Amino acid sequence: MLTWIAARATGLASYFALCLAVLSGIALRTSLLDVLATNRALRALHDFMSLIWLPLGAAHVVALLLDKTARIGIDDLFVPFQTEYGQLAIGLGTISLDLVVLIGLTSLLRDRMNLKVWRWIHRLSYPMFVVTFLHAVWSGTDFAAPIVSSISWAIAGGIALLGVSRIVFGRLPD
Amino acid sequence: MSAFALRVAAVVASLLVLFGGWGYAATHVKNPNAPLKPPVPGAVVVEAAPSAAPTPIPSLLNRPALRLPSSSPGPVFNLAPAVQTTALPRITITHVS
Repeated sequence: MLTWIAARATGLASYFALCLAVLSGIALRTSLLDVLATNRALRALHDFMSLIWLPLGAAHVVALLLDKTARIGIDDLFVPFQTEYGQLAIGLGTISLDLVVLIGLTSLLRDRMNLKVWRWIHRLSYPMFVVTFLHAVWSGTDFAAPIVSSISWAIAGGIALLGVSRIVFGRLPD
Repeated sequence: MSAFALRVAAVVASLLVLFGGWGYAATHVKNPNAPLKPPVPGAVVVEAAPSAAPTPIPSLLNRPALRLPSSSPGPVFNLAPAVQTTALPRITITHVS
């Protein structure tokens, strides 16, 4: 029971923190919001958010591993679409987790990496967020609640709007 | 807004979501609207009782102005026995007069 409640609460909190990270990151490089491009506080927030969503996401995964009803195995963390139920919804969570780990690790190693390679890997944040959102909607137990659903869709809409504006109006230089 | 204030606001907001979500999940442990319902091992699957389909009487089928029985099932009665278990000792009197 405790692990199930913990898995749901940390899932919600990590998704919210991830939304803040993606919002602050995409706002830094969108021409539409060029006034924010040189905002050091926003840049610091984007870097800082990984310290919040990473432990929350890890707690979400550990709680699901320990929960007997969820029946998530270690191999499900790496190989998607293998669970006994909800293959697509949970498999998207596996893909999201793998992408998050890749993006997080390469961000830590950014200074030691080729900047062009790092940037292309970091752009995986966009499909990662889409996959995470679908995972949350299709498997999130609390996403049927109106307050959770409305906030989540509003944030996702804001990120989608900024993503489209970045495509239309272009990307700001580094 | 300073970077420190933004960080504090982000931490506070995340903690609010965490504890708010914890409280909501604790008070709504079983959500009937949840998209995923993992099968519980050992659970008893209760099958629905078959509905009684009305059988038309052949001799009445060709009568004029006959109202055929509706295809929609009628009300379902619960015929579960009303006898309930009790903690009283079993009755073992076999006296015959």
